[in-house]
Amino acid sequence: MDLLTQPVSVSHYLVVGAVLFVCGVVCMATKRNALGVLMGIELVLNGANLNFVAFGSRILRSDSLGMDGQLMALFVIVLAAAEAAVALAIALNFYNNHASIDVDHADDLKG
Amino acid sequence: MVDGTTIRLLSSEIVLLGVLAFLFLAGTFVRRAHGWWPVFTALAFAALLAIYGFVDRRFADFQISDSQGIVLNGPLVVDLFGLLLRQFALVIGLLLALLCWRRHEEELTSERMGMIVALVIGLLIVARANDLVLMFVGLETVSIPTYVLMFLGRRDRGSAESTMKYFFLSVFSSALVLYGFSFLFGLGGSTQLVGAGGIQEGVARAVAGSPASPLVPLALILLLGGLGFKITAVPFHFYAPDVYQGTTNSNAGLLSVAPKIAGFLALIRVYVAIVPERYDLGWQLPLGIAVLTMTLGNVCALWQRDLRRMLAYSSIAHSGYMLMGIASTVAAARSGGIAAVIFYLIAYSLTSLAVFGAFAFLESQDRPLQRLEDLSGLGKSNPLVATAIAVSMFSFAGIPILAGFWGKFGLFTSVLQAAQGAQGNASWFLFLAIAGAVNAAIAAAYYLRLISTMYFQEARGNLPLGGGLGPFATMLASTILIVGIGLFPGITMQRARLADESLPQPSSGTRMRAEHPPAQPGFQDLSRADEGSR
Repeated sequence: MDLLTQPVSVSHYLVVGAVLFVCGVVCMATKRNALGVLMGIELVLNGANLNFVAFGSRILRSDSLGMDGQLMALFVIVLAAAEAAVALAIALNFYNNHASIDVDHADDLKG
Repeated sequence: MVDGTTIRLLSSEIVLLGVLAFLFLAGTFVRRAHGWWPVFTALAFAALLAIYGFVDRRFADFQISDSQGIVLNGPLVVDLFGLLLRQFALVIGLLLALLCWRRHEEELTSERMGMIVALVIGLLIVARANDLVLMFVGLETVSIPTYVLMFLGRRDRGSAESTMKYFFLSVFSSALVLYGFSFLFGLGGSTQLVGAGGIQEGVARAVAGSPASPLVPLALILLLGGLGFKITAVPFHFYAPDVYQGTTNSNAGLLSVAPKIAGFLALIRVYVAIVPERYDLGWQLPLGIAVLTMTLGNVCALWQRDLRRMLAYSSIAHSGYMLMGIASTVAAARSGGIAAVIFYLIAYSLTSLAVFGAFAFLESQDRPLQRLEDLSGLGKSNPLVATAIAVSMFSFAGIPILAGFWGKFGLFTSVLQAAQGAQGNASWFLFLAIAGAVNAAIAAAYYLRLISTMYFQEARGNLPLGGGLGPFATMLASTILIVGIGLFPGITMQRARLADESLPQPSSGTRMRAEHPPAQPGFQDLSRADEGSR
């Protein structure tokens, strides 16, 4: 099945979601700034969110029930905001100790 | 159909939310007498536990425990499994509140206690969720307070670093779980897990269809990966030793208990519930991870000299043992695997709290307990604490008449049952049982080394014993519970077995126990009670 010649369906959204997910993982793995890593997390969460909204859409899928997908997406957005608040506090705490938020400096503990 | 019943079913969570709000608000005004906050929190948990289990027989939860069926109520599932694990979560909350009561870290005590209450609310939700949204919210309600607890009031480099590592990996694991959930939602067309038109049926349909949907294995792998981070399963274990080493003893105790309970509850509620019968990948994945996890955990623990690093690897190994139960229950539904996992989870959590309670009691702010050698001579200088640590180590190692022994006994029995039940795959489960037995033998080496350090090495100066009353009480209560459960395992085992049987059975596409909730006696009891209250 060639996605490029088909009318837009759930599969297209899944591909975009997967691309977002992979971009987020790559961003988390390569960024050295803690806030950059946080951006990667947002991308990963929104990749999953896109899946939820696409699966739950009544236009794309006639058999989907109710607003479950959209509801989940809203919950995830709120939780991501809560996580970002905690992340900023953690980054500030790290900065107070290390005078930097470069995650490469977090290498004291090993063995 | 969310109605007044749902509100009553969630009354424990609502009461705890009230306690949480009070702790946060009152904590900002009270500047003295911080020692009372842990007492208040512990009393709140104890009162709730008493109401929950013993006093109020009209309490909705208790009526369910008399019936054997499961009842679906909107996003909640009400069964004996949920009841047992919710009571256990309250016990854990009580012990954690005492464990985090530290004499030398008095500022921010009310905030710390509030975070423990929030974390217990998350555990209560996860134990009862039958819905992807609620399950995810519950898991995050366990995770986010854990991040805050790790850095609240700490100013040293080690804490900052371990919090950073734990936070990013834990958030990533949540994202993996969420991505897996999104595919489950696509397969089921609804966020409900078990029940008519739920994900369980959708997955069974997708597996039975031809060609089989590629989303099922993808969702299962993402789910196991994400929850594997929470339970520190190999290959997602690597953060645990660093994080345990960098944080304090009481925080390490919290980390070794709370995320693990949440992870295993979610595995049982989501993974075990949705894998259809005779779907081989469903048990192959946890079986492989179990063997890798316990072997790597035990072998790496052998040459650790840092106490918390050693216990981190030991906790990794214990997750491997518990995954044995998950694998055997997925392969053969009647193997009693879940009952064994529940019992082991209870034994492991109490033992872990006893050890970390003892460590937190022995250290003081300027003299942290870090190395194995720090414990030398403890048998002579403080026989009581040394006995508690020795009992916990024997329980971890699985020496008879302690709780850990019965936990391992149940797990190995379930694996052998699965070897009989899963036709054609018996050799895999025999291999799993042998791997588990070899691992239990390896593990004894480093637990006994710790005991021999305490009793047979000369002391190098006295330990400060600066932890105060709270960690001491945690240590004492947990040790008594370990010995008690070990001497009388029947009570807990019976309840774990009933909880196992109350769980919904794996779906073969047609057979469903939850299809007719009104036929269940518990549902009628509930609706009658609801009318009475109006």
